[in-house]
Amino acid sequence: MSEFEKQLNKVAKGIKLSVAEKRELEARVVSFMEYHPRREAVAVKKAEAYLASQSYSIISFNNRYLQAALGALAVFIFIIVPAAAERAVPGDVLYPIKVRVNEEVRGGLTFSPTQKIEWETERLERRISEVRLLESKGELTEETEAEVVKAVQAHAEAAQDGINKLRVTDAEEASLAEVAFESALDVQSFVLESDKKEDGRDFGTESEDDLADVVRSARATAAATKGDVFPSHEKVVARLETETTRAYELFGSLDGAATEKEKDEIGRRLSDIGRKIKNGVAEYESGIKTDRLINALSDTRKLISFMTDIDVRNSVSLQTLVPIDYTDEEKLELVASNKAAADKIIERVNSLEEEVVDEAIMEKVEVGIEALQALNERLTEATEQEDLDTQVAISQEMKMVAIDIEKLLQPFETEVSAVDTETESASTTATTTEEVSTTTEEVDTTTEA
Amino acid sequence: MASNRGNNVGKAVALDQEERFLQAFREFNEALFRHATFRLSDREKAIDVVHDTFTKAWTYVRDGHSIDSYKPFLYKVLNNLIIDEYRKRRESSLDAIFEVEGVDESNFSELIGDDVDTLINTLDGKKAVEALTELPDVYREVIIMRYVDELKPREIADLIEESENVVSVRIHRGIAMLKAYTEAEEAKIINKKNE
Repeated sequence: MSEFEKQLNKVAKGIKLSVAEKRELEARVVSFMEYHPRREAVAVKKAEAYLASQSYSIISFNNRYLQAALGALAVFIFIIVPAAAERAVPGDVLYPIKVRVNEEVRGGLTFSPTQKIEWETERLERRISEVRLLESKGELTEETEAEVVKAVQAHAEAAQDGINKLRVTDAEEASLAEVAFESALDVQSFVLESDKKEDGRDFGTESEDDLADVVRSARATAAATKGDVFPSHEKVVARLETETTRAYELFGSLDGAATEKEKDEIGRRLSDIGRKIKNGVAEYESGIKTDRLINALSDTRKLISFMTDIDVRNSVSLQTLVPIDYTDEEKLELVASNKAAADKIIERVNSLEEEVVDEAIMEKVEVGIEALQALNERLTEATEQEDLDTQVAISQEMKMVAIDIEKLLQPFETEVSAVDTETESASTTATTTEEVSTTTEEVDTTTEA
Repeated sequence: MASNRGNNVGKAVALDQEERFLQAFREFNEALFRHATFRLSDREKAIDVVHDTFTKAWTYVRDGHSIDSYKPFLYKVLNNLIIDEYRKRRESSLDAIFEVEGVDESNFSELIGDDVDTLINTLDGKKAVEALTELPDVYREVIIMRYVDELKPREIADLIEESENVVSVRIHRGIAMLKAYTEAEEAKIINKKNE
């Protein structure tokens, strides 16, 4: 071996991996092997797994089908059927599923007593709505009606029972639940009453009356068993905030679902509620105890029903559900305009003296004029006492009398006085779009503030 | 039963491939590391290329190929990786690789004179080893394969995909270069002393 080779070997022997380096290198390589197993090895493993599963192949094959079938069945039972059942009305095959499965399950998923009461109330509303739908289609049978009457009664009792139980544990919460329940019953009462009044519809049958009776008696029970605990100011305000927020959200999403006129009316009610809340809070802060806030809450609930339930919207006017709450200025304006209408008719009657009018009628007219004068005196008294609400009530009465007198005189007069139109315009001034929008904005700012 | 037997055979094949690879790793990792260190003069880099050599080899096996003889396979992979490394470095030696391309290695006239064994005996061993780093890699490569890895010219020829003659010429020329280099260095020292 040459010197060169000897030297080279000597150097080469000195070039060695340390034990640690060797271990690390091996670990890296083995790790690479593990992360990148041979495809054949994977295939072998797969084959092993396959062979292992061979003895169960028939069962697993069936299982796959069974699983798919069970899955489809589950989807059918738990999703498709309940979804289809939601649209069912009494008499449909799926109706029992809707009432006994869907609604019971949903009821079972409500945990707070308040939610349970609300759910029973909603079920009551659903039943009434179903009956009305069947009635409008002419498919309502006596049997179904009787069933629904029973169901409505049961839901009303369940809700009332819930309120009674809640009163023991949380009297304040129970009072708030009462407000909601009573508002719902009020709305349904109005709906059923309106059906009875409607011409050409076969409402007013015995069962229909029964239904209205059930609702009325539930309303009476609710009023009679009302607790004497007044919910705390904070609780009422908190509930009002929740409910008005919901009402404003619904109002914002009304586009296309309500006419412009309806929207104006709803906007007006929202601003009324806003004002009621503002006044109620001011009263509370100055130590005056009123139920203004509770009224505002009730109005909000009714307004929400009006916005969410197309049934309600189609059968009851908003004015019936939630009458306009006039501002002091509006009230003064209304009183003035009513009084002006009355004055005008008195003046006209005075100028009629020379003309020939049927005597019997003239007697009636004179009775009317006397009544107007008496009312006018009462109005003056109320004005002196600065009792605005009484003034409004008296002036409204005056307007009615004035209209009656005008009707009596109509056959004898070619010149029709402008009582009707003037009074009408005076009473509706407050509902013009412009005013509504301004007041709505005011309420908006107060809510935000 | 038949499937079980097939299964065992499959297992045996799988085990065999993996076992053989690991055996090759244990057998050659040190030699490959030494070779790489000589070629790259960088210990860390040498470990990396050895690691890459084995992962590349495993990837080849994993893809379903079979390696009959690991030694030449591993050296070939390592050699390619080292050349890649040179390319990355773009060192002067890289230029040397390409310079050599113009040299006629089919001219065996230089082999006619002193044979390699005679020539190598005249080398100053220590200085020649030091001078190895100065050689263009094509010469260093074959010299290391021949004298460090103790590969036969036939094996080297297979590895670098050249003819055995070319390998012989490169070894001879490399040694001659080492001789010339060491002598030139010695002459420089003598000259310095004389000055």
